[in-house]
Amino acid sequence: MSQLTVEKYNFIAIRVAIIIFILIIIVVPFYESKKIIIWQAQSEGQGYNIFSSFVLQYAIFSEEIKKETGLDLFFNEEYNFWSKIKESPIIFQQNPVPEKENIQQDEDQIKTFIEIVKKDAIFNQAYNFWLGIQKRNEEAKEEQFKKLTSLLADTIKKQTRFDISLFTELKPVLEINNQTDEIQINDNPEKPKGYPKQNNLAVPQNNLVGTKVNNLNALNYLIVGDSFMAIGGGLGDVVEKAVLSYGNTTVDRYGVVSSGLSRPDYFDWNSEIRKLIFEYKPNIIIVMFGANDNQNLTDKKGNIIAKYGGQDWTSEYAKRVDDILDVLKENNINVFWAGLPIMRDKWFSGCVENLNLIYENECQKYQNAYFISTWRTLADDKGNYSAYLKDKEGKNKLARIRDGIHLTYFGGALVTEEISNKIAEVLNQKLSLLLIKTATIVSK
Amino acid sequence: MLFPTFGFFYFFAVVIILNWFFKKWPFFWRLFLVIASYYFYFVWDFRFLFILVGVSIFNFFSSLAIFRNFFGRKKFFLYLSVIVNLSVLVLFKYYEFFRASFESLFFGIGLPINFPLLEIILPVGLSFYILRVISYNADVYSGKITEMPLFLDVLLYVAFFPQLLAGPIMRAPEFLAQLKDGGSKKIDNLWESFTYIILGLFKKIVISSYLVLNITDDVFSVPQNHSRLVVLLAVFAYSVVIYFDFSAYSDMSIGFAGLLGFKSPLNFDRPYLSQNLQDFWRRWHITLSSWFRDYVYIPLGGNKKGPLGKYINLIIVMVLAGLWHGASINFIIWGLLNGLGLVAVHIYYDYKKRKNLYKTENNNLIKKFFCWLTTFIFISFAWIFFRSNTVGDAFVLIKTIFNPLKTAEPIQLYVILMTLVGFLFFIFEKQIFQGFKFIQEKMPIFLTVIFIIFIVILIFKMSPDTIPSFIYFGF
Repeated sequence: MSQLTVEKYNFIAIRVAIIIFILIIIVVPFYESKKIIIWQAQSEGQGYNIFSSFVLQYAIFSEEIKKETGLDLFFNEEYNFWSKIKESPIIFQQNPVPEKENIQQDEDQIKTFIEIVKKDAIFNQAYNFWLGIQKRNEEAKEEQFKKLTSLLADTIKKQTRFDISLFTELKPVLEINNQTDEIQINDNPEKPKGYPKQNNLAVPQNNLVGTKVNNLNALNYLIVGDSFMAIGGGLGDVVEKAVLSYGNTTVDRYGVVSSGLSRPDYFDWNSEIRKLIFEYKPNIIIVMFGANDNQNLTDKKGNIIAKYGGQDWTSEYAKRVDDILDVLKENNINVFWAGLPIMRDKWFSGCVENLNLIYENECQKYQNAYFISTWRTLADDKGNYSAYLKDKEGKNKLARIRDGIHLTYFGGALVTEEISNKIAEVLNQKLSLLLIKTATIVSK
Repeated sequence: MLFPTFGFFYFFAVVIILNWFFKKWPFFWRLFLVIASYYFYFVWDFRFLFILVGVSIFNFFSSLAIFRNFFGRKKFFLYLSVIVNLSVLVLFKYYEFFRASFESLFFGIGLPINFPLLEIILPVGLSFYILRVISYNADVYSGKITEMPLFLDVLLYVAFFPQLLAGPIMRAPEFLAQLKDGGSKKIDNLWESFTYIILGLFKKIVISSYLVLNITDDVFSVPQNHSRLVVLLAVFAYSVVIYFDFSAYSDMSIGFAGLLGFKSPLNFDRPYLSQNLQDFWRRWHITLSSWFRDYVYIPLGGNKKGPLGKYINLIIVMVLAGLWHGASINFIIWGLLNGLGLVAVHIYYDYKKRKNLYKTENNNLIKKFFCWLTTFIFISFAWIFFRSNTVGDAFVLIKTIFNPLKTAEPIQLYVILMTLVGFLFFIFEKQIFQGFKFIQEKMPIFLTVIFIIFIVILIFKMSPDTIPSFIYFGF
């Protein structure tokens, strides 16, 4: 190549590079305007970035143009096409256990269950407690015990799945929190050391069980929420581990970054939760929402229906919470709704406080819903935000990550403890009720 | 700003126009690039910028002191600069780790001392630019830099935005030479640069992001909730993820710098095709391993202190490299594992050398395959410690692999597909790259332009709705 052509080539190369970049920034964001708006909601701490703001404006403008020219039909179809492609098939799906096997398993499990009830200190104590009230003589004891256990098993069989499964869960739960146990405890020197690890308790299946059955005896937990429950938020995986440690549980977690109840055009939790219930058949759901909800409420198409801060915003938002709680109630699922913790930013903290109030009020309307406040858990002694909190030994540990919103592993563990305690408390209450009920039946 | 965002593309469009516009005036061109780089960094957090500027100014003066041999004490100034730079790194990166460790230690011996609680944020890219400035001072000291660079040149060397956040860790002599007389007046490899950018985009936002969101994040945080097959898949998927994530960043960095007329060093050379661990470390994160070789391993004595000295040095270097990634025991274990692996390889080759067995070596295909497989499995195994949040988690994960109770669980077909695509990409990366470049070169320019835009749209189409941050931004 002669000198001249080399220079010409260089000149062209620079121009071509510039032209390509100009075309990229005109064509690609126009084409991908929907994705840009979604991504924009996820970017944090880029407030000084005039380029991102410009891209967002351009994307909004592109969306408007698409609507006006009717191009949006094409783009929507195209978007659905790609969504379908990305929704990949699932393999290794386990087959449901055939019914015949179920019955056999049930009988075996009832036998095992009675054995365990006999051995278990807490049931023994409950029985003794009941005996104390009845003041029966020694001979009657053995007979009564047999009666009690068989009746317990019968009662259990007729109960809903949740109450039955309680017994699977009881041991670890009671270990966490036996102060709330109202049953009088005798000092029995020969206390058995809890359940065997692989216990198979009597858990007859109710009609909730569908195609996906992981473990017939297990209590199914579902954890859902926003970035706190997704990886990196610091709570979801810690709760998941804690629930797994209860033993004989199945846990599924579904956290979606930047999601909430405000923007169903980005992610529609109200319909997603129905799909998840159908898919996972949970008995207990642990929920945390709201960190992205301090914004205008939109409908599924993205039209604003209530501006943030107004009275209509609160009532509409409460309706969305109600809708979720309704679905859970219909499906006989107990919901533990974790409130949001105190935040570093004062204004944001105020928003979060309001949201917590809505969750708490709505949960109170439902018998199956329990609100767990995490506000105090992650505040310091004076009730203010603090990145460092004391652990059980009094050592300062970092509880919050640098954004002043999400949690470190330690912060997550603090909140998880709060959630576990609440679950234990509720399960204990249910157990006490069940025992009293059984005792009443036996005494008649 | 992240490379694979539209905000960055807008930013870069402005930069590339002004970069070539200012070329005629070298001073303004440098000034412009410094301002652009500072803006790029400022967007993350304005506080970070003060640290970056502070470090740059300090190192300009320290290098000046070394270069001019102030008071005849250039060695003193070299040590001073290393100590100050390392202190900045330690303060921001390791303070919390040391605070907690020392408090426990003092508490253990009956001295309840409390260090101040500082909510320190690690400035993004700090680990990378601290290494750059240390090597810069050392190069001035050793005479590799023969001419004292201008103030603006030093600022630009530390902050050059394509390489600021996650490397490649370019050496000062190499970089400063490219600034002379207003730098290159042309784009040397136009299509190669675009190929780097496009393949980088694809690696990051299609393969790596998809696998992170759909398997590795979940499995590595709660391994006990997964079946052994899925955990095993996640371990190999993570090998794909970390390579694709990091090499994608390096590729894009090389591409963007190339379009501004800069030549960057290669950071990855198909590392997963290595036949042994020594080979792997020559091909993986090349600029970091060569940095550690030149500024830690060789000053420690390298291989000149007998075989035992060499082995100890290797382990020290690998543990330090592990610690560089983060203040936690898992990174130390990861470094140690790699160090021990390297020592094993060295012992083997030293033995061969002594016995003069090189000539009789037969390199048949089966042996090659076996070497490759062992190396790859070892590397993937070591990544478990690298990725797990705690050492406990790592062991739980390893235990889960051998748990006979849970064998299979529902899994998306796409995840397996993406992992396989990842593996194919490792093997044929060079061919894919060349093919891509070839297409662009041979097509008429206007078709190439359309082709590039089409590919970029396609990549964004295939991306998930969330793009996780780059793994190496955390270091």
